[in-house]
This record gives sequence, structure tokens and C-alpha cells, in this order.
Amino acid sequence: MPMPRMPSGLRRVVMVGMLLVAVPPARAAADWLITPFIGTAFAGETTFLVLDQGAGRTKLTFGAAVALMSDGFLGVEAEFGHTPGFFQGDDPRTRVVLASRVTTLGGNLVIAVPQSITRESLRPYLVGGLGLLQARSADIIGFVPVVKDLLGLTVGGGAIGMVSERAGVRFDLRHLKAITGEDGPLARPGVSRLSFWRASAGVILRY
Amino acid sequence: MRTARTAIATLLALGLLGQAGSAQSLTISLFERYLEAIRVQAGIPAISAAIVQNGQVWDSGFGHKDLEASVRATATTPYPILDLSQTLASTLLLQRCLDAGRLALSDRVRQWLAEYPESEATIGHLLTHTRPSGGFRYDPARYAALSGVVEQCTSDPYAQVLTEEVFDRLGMVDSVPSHDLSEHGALYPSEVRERYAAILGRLAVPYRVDANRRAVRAEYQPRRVDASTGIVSSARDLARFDAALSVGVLASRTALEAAWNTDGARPTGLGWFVQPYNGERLVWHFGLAEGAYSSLVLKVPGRGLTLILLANSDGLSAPYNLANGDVTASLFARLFLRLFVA
Repeated sequence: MPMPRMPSGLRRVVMVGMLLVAVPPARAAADWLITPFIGTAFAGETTFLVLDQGAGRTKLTFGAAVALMSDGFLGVEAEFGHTPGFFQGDDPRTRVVLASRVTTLGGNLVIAVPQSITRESLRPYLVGGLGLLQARSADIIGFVPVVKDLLGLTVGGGAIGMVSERAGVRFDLRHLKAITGEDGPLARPGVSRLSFWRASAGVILRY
Repeated sequence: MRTARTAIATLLALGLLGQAGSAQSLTISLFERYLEAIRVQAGIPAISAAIVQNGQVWDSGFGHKDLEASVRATATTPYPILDLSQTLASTLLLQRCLDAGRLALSDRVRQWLAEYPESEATIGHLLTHTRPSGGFRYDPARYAALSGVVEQCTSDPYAQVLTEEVFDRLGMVDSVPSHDLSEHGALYPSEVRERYAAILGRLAVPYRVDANRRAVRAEYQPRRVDASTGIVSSARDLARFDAALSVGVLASRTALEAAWNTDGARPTGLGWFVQPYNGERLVWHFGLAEGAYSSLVLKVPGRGLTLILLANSDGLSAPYNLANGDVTASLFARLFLRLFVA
């Protein structure tokens, strides 16, 4: 399957990441971890009336996280994620949504296995928090536009692995779900107003 | 930046739709695309649709009239049209009784049906779903009494009047006056009964759609034909009826003006719902058999426009409380108005 073309926003994130790699790190009891990531959003649900059935499809997602992690078990994280085309269907012959996205900006608490236990191996963590879930969708005639800024809940987990003093990788799986807002017409009971899973892999830059 | 985005979006839309030959075909293409998207979103197995614009008819089918047998819906797929039957009854009453001078709207119903329970109710009250004490309440069972009035006025069975004056006259070849052929079987010769049976054999299968949009084959108890319900027809046949109605073939202009107007105190004309919309008058009706079928007809007389939708689930009508008299509650109506009127 061909890889999706890298969006310009993602190219900028990668370039900033490469620049940060060039800066030497400073060791401390708490480390700043900057993690640009790329992955997929999947198993999406929405009750918003967007007409295309795209929310449930797997979509490219990317973003970046900045975390302050202690050597112990606690850390905090600010994370930005962006999923272009979130609501769009696959078939251009039947598509009515021209442009759409879901963008998230959240603050999370990270609970990780202390470094004294994991040492140089993978360091598992759980993450959870609140933030902004921004949904946008524009259809051909502007019949059912979606412009929603919602409070979102994030829960998930993953693992961090450092491959050098200043660089590593992060594997992350999290569920993002809107907890405010109103359902659109034709909403089905039991379906989330807006939710999706996100699996991502990121490069960690440690300071 | 926003202007540029809008321009790009418009170009993309035009590109997606291909080289449309005219603004009208582009509008129809957009309508088809949106209608199909809403149908899928609402979980409706099949919709048959027609649009009549100044006598020109576009029609099509969407989805499957029989999911298990994978039979696609077309514009000629027959459905029970349910309460849309009221618009045909109103037309017959206007044509055969009012225009012929045999009846007045102010006549008490008891003048024509001695056993009718409401002593003060007039023909006009029944046609407008109103009471002598004032106030509107949509009541199909009460409206059904008008078939008896038509029979008294014409001295013929209602189903026969309907067949002769509407179906046969307009060549409505997918229409049957009664879902239950045994009801009026004696009225028709055997070849006509066989034709009606063949039409009923092609009837769209009714489905109940659950919360997860799963369509489950439903039981539907056929309704006896009267002024309120019972007719089986197709979108194409109803487009024929609409075109004939609009040019004054079926009733006089004066009678239609009365049917398609309201005094503002109620949302109904004579056998039709009527409401204002952006400087236009909307004339419409809906049909609903919960968990089985639904229907909608929406006319914009000022634009010579009519939308006809028939479905084999209740999704055209059930979510929108249309008996309250506001068709703009319907997503399907709003789409049509947005594309063709707004």
C-alpha cells in the first residue's frame, strides 16, 4: 500500500525535530522530552452530521508532545495532534465533505515505571488528561458544516525507549473522546459524539 | 485566505462532479450525492425520488428495495404512500364535488354522512384538520371520512373514482388504489386485478431500522384505502400526478389556490400542509408507517418545483415530528430547499 504523502505541517514538525537533535542535552533528575510523532487515527465515531462515513476509517495523524518526566513515576505532558481528512469518506464519487480535520491540544499526567527499575530497557507508562478537541468539516454546499470546539478526555499508554543519552523512541496508544457538546441530527444512541483511537510512533529528543 | 479556500473548494467540487452540462444538472447531481449520503447516514434501505420542475421530471432510485434479494430501488418501485393519499383525496373532492358545484366547504359533514359523529364539523374542517372550536390537530382517521363524502357526491365507490379520475387518466401504471385487492376486487376486471397483483408483487420490502442502522425486515399490515391512506404508488407516478395537478388538469386554479393557502392560524390548506419559507410558499405532505414506510412530497408553487420521496423505512418522517406542521424540520426537505430554493 503506498504511503500517504507527508502533509506540509508534518514536514515542518520533522524539520524542527531534526534541528533539536543537533542541540546537546543536559542531564537532570527531571528530563524534558520532546516527541514529534506520526501514526494513525482509527475506530473513530461521531454523532455529528457530516454525511461522509469517513470518521470510522483509518487516517494519518501527526503531532508533537512535550513532557517533563522525572526519574521516578510521575510526569506531565502537553500534546498537540492533528488528523487531516478525519471525516472524509474514501470514494471521491460519493464524497460530499471537501475538507475536514480533528485537532487536539491537551495536558496530561503521565505515570511511568521508574527509571531505577527499567534502566536502559523500554519504560512503560500510562497517560490521561483533558484538553481541547477541535472538529471541523466543510461540505460542498455548506449544508452541514461542523465547527466544534469540545472538551476532550484522553486515556492511554505506551512505552519509551532511549537509544542514546538524548534520543529515543516512543510507542503510544491512546483514546481521545469528547465529553461536551451536542449530538447532531440522526445521532445513534450509544455512539460517541466524537472519539477515536490513535496509535503513533515518535522520536524522543531529551533535554 | 478564506476566499482562496472557498474558491479552491468550489473548483474541487466542480471537478468531483465532472463537467456538468448546466446549472440545473449540477444541482441535480449535488442533490443525488447528498440524498444518497443522508440515506446512508439515516440507514434507510431504499429511497425512490422524483423532482418536477416546470413540467420537467427527474427521477431515480437509491439503495435496495429488497436487501436480502439485493434488488435495487428505481423510480418505478411501488411503495404504500400512506398519508400522501390525502392529497389525492383532496384533489378528487375539489374536482368532482367542489368544482362541479355539488358541495361547499361549509357543508356540514353530516349533510353527506348522516352517521358522522361531529355534528358541527364541516367538509372544510376535515380537509384542514381543524375543529369547529378552532385549533389544528393532525388526525388522519378523521380525514378518512372524506372518502365517504366523495362516494356520496359522485355516487361511485371511492376506489373506482380514484382509479378512473387519477390513475387511468394520467397513466399511473405503477399505482394501485388499494393494498388489499380483495377489498375492491369486484370493481375491476380480471386483467386489471392481475396487473394490480403484479404491481403489489414488486412492492418495496418494509424494514425497521435499529439504533445501529441495521435494517430488519418488518411486518406491515396493509391499510384499507380511504381518503387518508391505502394507496400504493411510485415516485414516477406521483410525479405524473404532480405535473397534472400543477397545470390545472385535475382541479381548477381557484380550487388549487384554496387548497394551497392557509389563513395563518393553521398550518394546513385543503388536504395539504402549507407554510411560508424565505418569501416562498411551501405546500407539502408526509406519510408515516412507523417501522415500515415513509413518504414526503414538497411543492414550491412559486418556482414550479416539487420533490417526491418514498422510502421503505420510516426514516423520511419519523425523526422529524412533521405532524406539527413544519417541513423544515426534515433534513431531506432542508436539502431540497437549500439546493433549489434558498
